[in-house]
Formats: sequence, C-alpha cells, structure tokens
Amino acid sequence: MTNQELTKQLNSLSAIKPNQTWKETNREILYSQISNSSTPIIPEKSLNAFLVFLNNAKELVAQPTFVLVSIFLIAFGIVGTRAAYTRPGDSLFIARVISEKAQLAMTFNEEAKTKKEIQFANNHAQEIAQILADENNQAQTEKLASDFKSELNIVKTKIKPIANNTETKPTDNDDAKVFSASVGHDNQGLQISPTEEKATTPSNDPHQMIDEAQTMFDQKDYSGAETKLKEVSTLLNNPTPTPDTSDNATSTK
Amino acid sequence: MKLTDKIKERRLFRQIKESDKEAFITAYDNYADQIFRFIYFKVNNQEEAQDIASAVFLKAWNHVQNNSLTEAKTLRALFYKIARTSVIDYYRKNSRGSAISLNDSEVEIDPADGSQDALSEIEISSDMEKVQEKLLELKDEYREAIVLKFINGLSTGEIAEITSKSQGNVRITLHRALKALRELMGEEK
Repeated sequence: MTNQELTKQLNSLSAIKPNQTWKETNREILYSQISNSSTPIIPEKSLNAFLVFLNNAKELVAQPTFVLVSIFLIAFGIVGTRAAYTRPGDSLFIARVISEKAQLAMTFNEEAKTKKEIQFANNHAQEIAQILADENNQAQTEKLASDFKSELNIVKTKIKPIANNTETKPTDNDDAKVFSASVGHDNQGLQISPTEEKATTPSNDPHQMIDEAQTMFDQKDYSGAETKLKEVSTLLNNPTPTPDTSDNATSTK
Repeated sequence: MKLTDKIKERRLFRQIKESDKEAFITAYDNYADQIFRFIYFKVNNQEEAQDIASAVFLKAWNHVQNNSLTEAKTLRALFYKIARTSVIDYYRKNSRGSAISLNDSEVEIDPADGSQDALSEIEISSDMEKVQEKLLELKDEYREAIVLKFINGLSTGEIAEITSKSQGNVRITLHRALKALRELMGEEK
C-alpha cells in the first residue's frame, strides 16, 4: 500500500463525529456554565486586543506585502517632504497644501492657528506673484490670478480677529497724557507731538497693505505685490508696538 | 488553514478573551467534532471521549478568562493542548495504559458522499474500520501525529505547537508513523 492510499483511508476517518444529541445538549450546558462564570469586560482589554490584532495582522500578512507597504509609506513621506518646496501650479503642490492643513489640525491654540493660516496664504500669494513675475506664463495667468485673490481674501478674513484684538487693547497712553497735563506744568499748555496714526508715512495697517498688494497685482506689478506681501508677513511676525505718546508730552515756556 | 479562516479564528479568539459567550459557542460548534475525534482516538470510548471533550471546552473558557496558557497562539491550539492534558489526567485517574481495544460500535460514522450506493458504503466502512483498528495498535506518539495531520487536517506547524516539538521533529514522526501503520496494514496481507 502506498502512502497516498493510506492517507486517503486516514482522511476518511474524519467522518467520525460525536453524537449530535450530545453535541447540542452539551452546547446548552456549556453556555449556562460560562454564563455563570462570566467576568466583566475590562476596558484595558480592548486596547490590548487592538495591539494583539495589529500583531496578528502583521503575522498574517505575508512578509513581502508588509515590506511593500512600508516602502510605500516611506515613499509617501519622501514625496511629502519634497512637496514642501513646491509652488502653486506644480503637480505636487496639492501635497504641500495637505501638509499645511495637517499642521493646522495639529495646532490647538486658536491664535497660533490663525497666524499659521495667514502665513500660509500669504506665502502662496507671494509665490504666485513671483511665478507671474518670473515666468510670464500667459496660460496660467488667469488661474493664478484667481488663486492670488483667494489667498488674499483668506489673509484678510483671518487677519481681522487678530487686528481687532490689538485695536481693542487698552493703552496707558491716554492716561499718561492726562497725567502729564495735570502735574507740574505751566499754563502755557502742553505740546503733544502728533500721533503716528495721523502720519503720512507708509501705513502699518495690514488690511491697507493687502489692498495695495492687490492693486499692484491688478496692474501687473507682480514684483511690487510680492514685496508688499513680504512686508505684511514681516508685520505679522513682528508687530509694531503702539507708540508711547507720554514721552512726547513736553512743556513749553 | 486558509488565510481568511485564520483571520476569523483570531477574531474569534479575541472576542472570547473579551468574555464574548456567543463567540465561544461558535468556537465550540467549529471545533467540537475534531476535539472529540482527537480524544476518541486516544481513549477509544465514545462516552468517555464526550465527557472529556465537555470538560475541555469549559477548561478552555476558564483558561482564557484567567489569562493563563498564554503561550497558545491560536484558539485551536489552545483546545488541543487542553485536550491532551485532559486525556493524561484521565489516564492517571483510571490507571489505564495506552493499550486500547476496538470494541465500540456506537461511534457515528457519517460517510462524506451520500450519493454512493449501499455496497460502496459497506466497503468504505470496512476499510475505515480496518484502518481504525490498525491505528489503535500504533504507539500513542505516532497515532497522535497521524490523527492530527491526516484525520483532523492540522498543519505541521500547528502540530508542532500543540505537541511542543519542532516542525522537523513532527515531519520525522509522521514519516515513521505512516511507515509503521503501513507495515501493520501489510501484515494482514
């Protein structure tokens, strides 16, 4: 007799089964026994179960597949890193946008989040202006112009809450003026130098600067628009402190 | 075992670890027949085999809930390990050796193919009885390996885990077991 014939006969013994009545009765008995001895589910077991599942999944999946998945994840990470250097209009720009959105999602401080959004939108707008200034690509002009306006709108919208916060902050300068006016000065009055709000020097108002950038862009002064947006970026990163007019209060005789 | 079956079994194992009674009963339905067969070929008595099998499943539930026997990677391996130790306990209690005689006509034999005619069924039954008879004459180690591999359909890896041997050792055991059984079968001729 060959091994094959023998194994075939052995396989046929798998037909041996327990009595069905016993099997069903035992099922009921077993169920009642385990019901009496059941223990409550511990929440930590779910975490362990998840870890066990991950471990089992790793074992079950063939090693080559696991390696391929790892390579894919690494490649995606490389693409993501490479995408950080892309500009609007590039094929990988969408990856950069996704990355920026991920950064925003991980920022929980609302003010910091808003500042980041403004920065990202401002960067996009600068790059669009740079592209149009450098390449002069008519085919992309309309699309990029539309994108530019969208980015500026984002900056304007997001900059309002921050601007309002700085405007509503109470200053001590008014109090200082009053104080200076009432203490130890002769009656010839006080001379208070004009505040910077009334100055005709370049505006520090981000809204105004953005509008100026928009005007320059519409006039196809892309370099000028880019420069203006850089000033906005600098202003946002280094806000100018409100001038202290109490030191300017002088008395004249 | 197919990959999908493995995934289902691991999910079942996880659910049982979370005290899911329904999952345990599903496992019972899945493995009761083969656990019974395994025990039956060790003790050669249907009623004893059924009693031991009942105890095996209850012990398995308690082991899982108490987080013992953690070295069992699969649910099936857990059931078989407990079945082996339960049979050993049975032998100790009854002071029986491994010598057993074939004298049990109550075991249900369900031919896989119901379309065969009566004569064929008799022939199959006769062949099965012959093999069963000779199988019981083998030493326990050989019989266990043959039952696990060729009757219950476990893989070499699973048998190695259950018996705490290496896969190479299991393959050698199977080779020797088949040779011994073939010699026993050949003696009649």
